[in-house]
Amino acid sequence: MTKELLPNSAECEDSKAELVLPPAIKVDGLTKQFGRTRALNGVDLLVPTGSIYALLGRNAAGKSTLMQSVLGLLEPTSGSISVLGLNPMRDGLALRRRLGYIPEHMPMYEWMTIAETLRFVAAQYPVWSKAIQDDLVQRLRLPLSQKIRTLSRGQRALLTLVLAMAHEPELVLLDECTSGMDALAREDFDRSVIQLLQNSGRTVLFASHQIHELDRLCDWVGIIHQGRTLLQARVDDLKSQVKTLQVNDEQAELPGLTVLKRQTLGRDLLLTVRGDSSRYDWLPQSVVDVIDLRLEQIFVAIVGHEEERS
Amino acid sequence: MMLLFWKEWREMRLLPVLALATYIALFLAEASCDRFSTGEWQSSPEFMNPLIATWLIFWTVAGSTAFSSEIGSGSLQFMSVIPVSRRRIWWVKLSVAFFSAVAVFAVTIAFVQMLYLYWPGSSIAHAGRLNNSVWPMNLYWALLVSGSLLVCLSSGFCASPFFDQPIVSTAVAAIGGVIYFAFSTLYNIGRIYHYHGNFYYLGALIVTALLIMPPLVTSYQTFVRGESLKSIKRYKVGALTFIGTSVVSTIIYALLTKV
Repeated sequence: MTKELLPNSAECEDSKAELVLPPAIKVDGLTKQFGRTRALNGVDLLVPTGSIYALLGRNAAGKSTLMQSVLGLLEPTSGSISVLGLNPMRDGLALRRRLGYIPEHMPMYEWMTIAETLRFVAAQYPVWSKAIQDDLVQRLRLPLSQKIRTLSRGQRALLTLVLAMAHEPELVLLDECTSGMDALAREDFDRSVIQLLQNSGRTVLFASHQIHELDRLCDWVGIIHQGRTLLQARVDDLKSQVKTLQVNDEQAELPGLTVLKRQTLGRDLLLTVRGDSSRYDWLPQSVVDVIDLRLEQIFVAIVGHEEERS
Repeated sequence: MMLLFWKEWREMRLLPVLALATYIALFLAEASCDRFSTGEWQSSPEFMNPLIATWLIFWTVAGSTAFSSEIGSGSLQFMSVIPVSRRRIWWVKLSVAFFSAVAVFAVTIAFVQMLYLYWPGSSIAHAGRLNNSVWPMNLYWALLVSGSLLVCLSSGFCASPFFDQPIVSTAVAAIGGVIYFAFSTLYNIGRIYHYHGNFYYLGALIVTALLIMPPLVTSYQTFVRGESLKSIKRYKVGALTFIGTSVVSTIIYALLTKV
């Protein structure tokens, strides 16, 4: 049922150049079971090297489980994972030296100061740039002598960002890192992340359900739903494939387009549809407007359609 | 590496202080009894009971809180995402727990010796009597006590990776320790201490090693091979390792007692 939403080989043609380099993350048929609960049910994921990849999904879709599996914190029940060419379970130590991880909540040692935390973590990495650390601490205005227990939610997230970036990782994983932040802290964090990651050449995997913040940053998107991969595509391709059509005829035929969502707007219909981008060149006259969508709207339409189907 | 030791010590440094404070409080409670004024306590074996109880409890707690406090606070997840090997974390935790327990042991012994020497009415003769009766400071006694304490520590260490609340892991370790001691008494595991003249002291070491091997190896395997996050895998790894090492220990013991 989900297969039709996966990119076919033609859709992926444009992306092949990007895949000349081995993918930063390759997940094949990943299943993870916790007792009787199956959190992941055959997830496939291909994160191209150098891309900024948005992993989207509703709450409890399996994003964090997937992230923790990629990091080697959880062992797959079945399936395989390769991260930067390494097996996270077997080569966890080597892998963690090359990646940065920013989770929603990083439980640190509350009794340490920021300076002590930085010194403690820096000592565990073979390569740690003091210059980057100092620059980030200054830019993010982190008070070095303050204890972790006294930091706000936003300051903790910014410290996690410093810890994840100062060893110059090849791959950065951000797992729902702005959940629970107030609007100001989130904006501050987003601005810092965008400054650091955009044009950095690093591979970045974002997992979030707050999609508006990812729209301007990501070039690839994957959607997981109920433990399965629903879709993977370049953001530009997806935006050219999924649009909303304002239609003044209820009986209008839209060959080659799958209707994902149907709304009314006065006497007209708003149909969110998906199809090959060339289909939008030959629309019937009953279509009075073609509206481009943001990533968030596309996500809602695709997941909503999938939930209706199932 | 040094920073790992520093972190570990900072995490658990309240425990030894608490153990010493508990002991002093118990001692002062005893000091309020009549026999203190007569000096009778200096030859009374039961005087040592609170001290021994404090040691046993402290060694159990030192082991049982090693992982559970960090699992509970979530800081183990923090350690799991930075490049520190789990083996190293395990060994550092064991070393710090062991040496702080030894420090408490040494400080309390020094405290008692000082009391014997300097308590009003004491004399060198009293101290000598102490060493002969209450304080049978011979190698056999030392091995027996240190063996029991190591069993407590390893029992705590075994329970610790399975629980996220230190109090629960301590309770489980204490119950496990009692069962363990009862089991070893039932099967007269200590007889290797006595019956083999050639093995008198070596036997004590072997018995201690056989008793602490299953819980320590179980703790190691569970922490190193199990997932750092809560999962059923910890229990599978733990159960299989405990059964396997217990069988091996029993076979070694059976072979040794037939020598």
